[in-house]
Amino acid sequence: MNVIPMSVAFYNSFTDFNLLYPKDTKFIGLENFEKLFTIKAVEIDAEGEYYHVLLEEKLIPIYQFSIRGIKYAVGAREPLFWKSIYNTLFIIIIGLPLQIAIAFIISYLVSTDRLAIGIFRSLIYLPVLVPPVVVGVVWKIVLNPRFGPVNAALGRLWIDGPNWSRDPAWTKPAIILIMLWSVGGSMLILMAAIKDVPKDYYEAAELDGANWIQKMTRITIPLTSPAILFVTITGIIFGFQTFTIPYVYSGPTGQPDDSLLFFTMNLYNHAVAYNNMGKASALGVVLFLITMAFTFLILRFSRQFVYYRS
Amino acid sequence: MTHLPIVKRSHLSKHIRNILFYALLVLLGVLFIYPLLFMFGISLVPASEVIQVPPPLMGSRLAFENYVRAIAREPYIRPLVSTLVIIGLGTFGNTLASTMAAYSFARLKWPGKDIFFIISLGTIMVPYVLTMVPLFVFWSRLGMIHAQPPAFLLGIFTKVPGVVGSGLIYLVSLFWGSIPLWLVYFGGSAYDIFLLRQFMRSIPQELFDVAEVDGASDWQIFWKIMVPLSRPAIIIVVLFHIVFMWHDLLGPLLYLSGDYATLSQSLQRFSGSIHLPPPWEQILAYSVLVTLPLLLMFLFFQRYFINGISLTGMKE
Repeated sequence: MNVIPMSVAFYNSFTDFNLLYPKDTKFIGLENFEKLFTIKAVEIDAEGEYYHVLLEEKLIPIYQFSIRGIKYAVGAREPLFWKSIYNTLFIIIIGLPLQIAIAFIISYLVSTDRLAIGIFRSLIYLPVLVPPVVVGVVWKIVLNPRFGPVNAALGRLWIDGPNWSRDPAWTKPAIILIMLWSVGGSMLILMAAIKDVPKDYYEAAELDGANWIQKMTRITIPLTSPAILFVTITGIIFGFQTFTIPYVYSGPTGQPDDSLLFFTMNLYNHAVAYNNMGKASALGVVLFLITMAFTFLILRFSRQFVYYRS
Repeated sequence: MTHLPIVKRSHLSKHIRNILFYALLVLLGVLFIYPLLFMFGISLVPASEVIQVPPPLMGSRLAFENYVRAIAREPYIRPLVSTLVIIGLGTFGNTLASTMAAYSFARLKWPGKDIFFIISLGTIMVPYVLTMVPLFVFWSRLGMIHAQPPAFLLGIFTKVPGVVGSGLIYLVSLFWGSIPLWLVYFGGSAYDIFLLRQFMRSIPQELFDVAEVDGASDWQIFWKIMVPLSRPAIIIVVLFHIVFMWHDLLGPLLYLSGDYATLSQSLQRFSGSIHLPPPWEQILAYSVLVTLPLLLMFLFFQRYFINGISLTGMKE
């Protein structure tokens, strides 16, 4: 059922298909991909000529760096594409490990069958059910710098709270914080795995005089590693598809300063605002390949760490 | 005698550890529930008191008029009907297709089964947006974006008089206009197929052997044995699909507009349009109305949500 539209998407990615002029569609080979990936580094000279050099090739400066005292500017044909990749990787590389670590700690706490523990499991799981649109709306108010309770609480600790929605440096941390709110799903998966660890392993370790750190690193983490791997891979797959929360939190173009323009939002804009289905399909293909590459890398990398009981 | 103090101390430290444990849990619980309390709280604070900095979680009285005003600004009943109809159709299709596919993967023998199973598992990695674009093109070629139902279909219902008639016309238009949204789910979903297959494989083979000896067809075995026995797994698939579709914004944004918008879309429209000053209390009241049905569902099916995860087959 997915295979047919997928093949069509692959085919469309090699065309300049525009929904408004479907009859003018031409096969353009790899041009869509070429445009996306065109980047060039130019040395920055004192006169500022480099800017014109880049613009002549329709390149827009996106980044500057220096090697051995010589400054270079990097230009790209599609600056928003690179920005969206940077933003998406930012929340995956920084946000996902945080999410998993917090989910693991919480699931460890709620994995024992103690009195009233079910209530806490439900309380922590509840945010998962809140629709992402509501999540975006509510957190936008909660994080409001003047009005919201988060900065009010920070103020009470004599911390000057940041502007979570206007300061480009703080918008992505805000999204990471918001996503941490719904770690309940991962928590339940990890909890099921932690509960499955046989009790006698711990008892044997205790007899040998192991402390809790040793029990954690030698028993709990290795035996739950398949679940950790599962949460990591699904986290990456869904992380690359982040859409609704930033869309509601900051609008379709991910302002301020494109700091919340994620990969899927960029694709959506190409498809819906510009009707450029060829470009949108090419972006979809790139997203698919990136997701696959990450998944296989993680699977490969995990072989040394993941322990399967058989 | 020398043992006594040691025993006492460990007893005491156990108490302290228990207290610390629950203190930590209560702190976590409060942190996680706070944004929801904030939403419920502010939605009931009178408009004149919300503008205080910081806003009080409890007003001088419960301002239910916030809800009335929110619904007056942004309609609620039609989006609710819209959401329910689309979710009903989509969830029905997904459950039926996934259950049948899972049965075929778990019990039947046919050539190429294993390859098909691996392909269908691989589609979990396919991003939603990759298939979204060609499907959108497909439906727009058929003229199904914001489409009205064909005249003959409407003609049947224009003869029905009064409110019933206009209600029926609305439902038929909704059904027709949302075809691109719900029809895709009649292909089933890889994740649900996998979950159901794992569950079905755990059902003892003897049951099926007995039925086969009695001359039951595959079709009968499916409906009379497999479906009833897989009930817990099917309920989980249904619940998670309802939540998934309730959360979806991208799909409705592409295919629905105006009168047929879903609740997620309406809230997005309401909160995104510019009001000065923004009526926070009304936006949050509307948010409560969008969230509440799911929270009620959680209340009734709590154990399926909490324990369902251990059924999802990822243990293998």
